[in-house]
Amino acid sequence: MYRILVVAHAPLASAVVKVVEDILGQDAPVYALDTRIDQTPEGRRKQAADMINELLEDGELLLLVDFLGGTPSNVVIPYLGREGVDIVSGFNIPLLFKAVDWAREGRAVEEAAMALKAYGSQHIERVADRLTSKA
Amino acid sequence: MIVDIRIDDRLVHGQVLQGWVPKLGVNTIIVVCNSELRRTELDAIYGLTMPASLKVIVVSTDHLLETMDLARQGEERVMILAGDLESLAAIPADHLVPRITLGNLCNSPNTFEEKQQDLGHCEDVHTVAQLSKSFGCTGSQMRQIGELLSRGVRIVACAGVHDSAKEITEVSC
Repeated sequence: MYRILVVAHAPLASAVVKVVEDILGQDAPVYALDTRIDQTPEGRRKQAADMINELLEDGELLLLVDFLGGTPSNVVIPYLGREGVDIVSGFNIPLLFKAVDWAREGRAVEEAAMALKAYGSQHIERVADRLTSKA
Repeated sequence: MIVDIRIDDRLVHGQVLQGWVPKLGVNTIIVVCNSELRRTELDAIYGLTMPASLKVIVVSTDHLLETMDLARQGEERVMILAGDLESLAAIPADHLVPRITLGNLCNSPNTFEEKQQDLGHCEDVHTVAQLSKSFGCTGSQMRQIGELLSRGVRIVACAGVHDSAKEITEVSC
């Protein structure tokens, strides 16, 4: 089972992980790494290294970052070449829920990451369009 | 042309990409980094994460002056982005135009400890710690800013595009 580390501008990572845990259970394999403005660049990198290395000890790791080009993505992109690591940027709550489901099903992280890109996009909707499609 | 010279110890990040690049019409960022290992890492990071419309080049301080000369003569709209004030120490004042913008510098190593030490040397603790609402620095960084001011360099403190830019004309320490 891969585990999921959400890496985002504080307090987003902690906040979405709490949402996931509240809805899917405290045993959801999801963790938070908030990047804070009061951290030094070296401090952020060390914190990320410590968490990622620890999580990788028990299997594969899916890194979810808020957007490419921001500090969180700059911190974790160097791990892209590590075995068992995949990275998806631009997550949303449905994507997180599905990532947890697939982790619990035992999917491989690369397979999940590839499918999550489409899944997350499909779950951004203009709600009024649903009325039109049902008419 | 060089449209901005920015000091931000987070280098290229969301505030720069989403705020300053579109506001200033930047299409090229020259990042200053003296660590060869870190330059290699930054090249890899930016190669993956930067939009196709934005060119990001990482250079050492050894090559900064010649790079700035080329940038000034070219048609690209260039931001020079350094993680610290030391990177600009050897650049002549007439090259540090139009101005230096102080973005983020409160997160250097030992910042908290250094602020605590330096605060003891100045009567006005607010002047040492905060140059503007959104920009804070240590006493030693204040002295570096003072040195640049003494060379006639124009300095503005402005972290985010929606912050009010504060012209820095003098420092207390």
